[in-house]
Amino acid sequence: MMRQRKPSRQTIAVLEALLASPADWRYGYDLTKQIGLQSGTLYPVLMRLAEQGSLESEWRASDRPGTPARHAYRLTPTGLAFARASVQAAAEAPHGRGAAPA
Amino acid sequence: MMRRLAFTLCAVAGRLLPAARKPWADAMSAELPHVESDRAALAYAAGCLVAAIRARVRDFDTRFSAGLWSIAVITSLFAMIQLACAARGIDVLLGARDGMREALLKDGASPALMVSYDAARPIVIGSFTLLGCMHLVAAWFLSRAQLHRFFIMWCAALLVASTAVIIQLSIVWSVVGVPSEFHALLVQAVALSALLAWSRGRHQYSGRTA
Repeated sequence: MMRQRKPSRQTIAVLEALLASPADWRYGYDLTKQIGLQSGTLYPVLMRLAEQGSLESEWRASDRPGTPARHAYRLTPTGLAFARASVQAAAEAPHGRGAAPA
Repeated sequence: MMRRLAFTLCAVAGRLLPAARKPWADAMSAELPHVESDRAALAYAAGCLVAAIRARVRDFDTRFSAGLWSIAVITSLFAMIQLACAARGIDVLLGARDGMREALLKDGASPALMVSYDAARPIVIGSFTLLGCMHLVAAWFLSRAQLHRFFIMWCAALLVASTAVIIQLSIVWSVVGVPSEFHALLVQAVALSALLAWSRGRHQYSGRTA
């Protein structure tokens, strides 16, 4: 498992979004809309979370006919624990949610 | 049109991503048909391109290759200077003015010294030509990340440079700073050692954190 640095504000936002319904598979574009993050910020966060074992992914058939399968994400059990701890730590931090970049 | 541009940007992002993250290119592209408007699709694709560039810039292999290429470019510049020196020497052989020879004569050099100086000129020209060619080959090996071959070429160049300097010093004993024959070799040795030390440090860091 990779060493985990203090998550950034953006990482906390992604973790919160994934924590909201941890059993559901989520899609990249839907996450950008929900969180209000640009794809250029979201994907590096997803890549890091996947590399540290916090995020699992799979290809799921699209609900729109004629479109390719979509890459879906959700937190692993390790990721769930990490997300809960990170979100809680960010909420308790004196300057609000998150600080240093992930 | 904008939608097509968005797909093109995603394809470019896929090409830019480091090998270990290539699967993410498909993940990014697969979302495009689900973006409602063309403008939003373009913004999304531009973001994917930014993400790919950031991933590429932070990639260890890319940084290592960039380091090798930088040393290769500097080595090529030194090679050009050495080949230019050799060309200047050939020019003198063909009758051009020799400032060094004039300086020696002005300082009252003996006829024996001048004979040695003139006799050594073709050897020095040959050495510079050889060194320039060797540095070009060394730069090629660096750009291909063939470090073993580069090291062999570096040792051969060191031998040629040392021989040339010994011959020059046997004629005119004058050492001010590092002889120019060694400049490229010194830069290569320092820069490559630093790059390899950094690379080793990164591997150890990865090993500790994995």
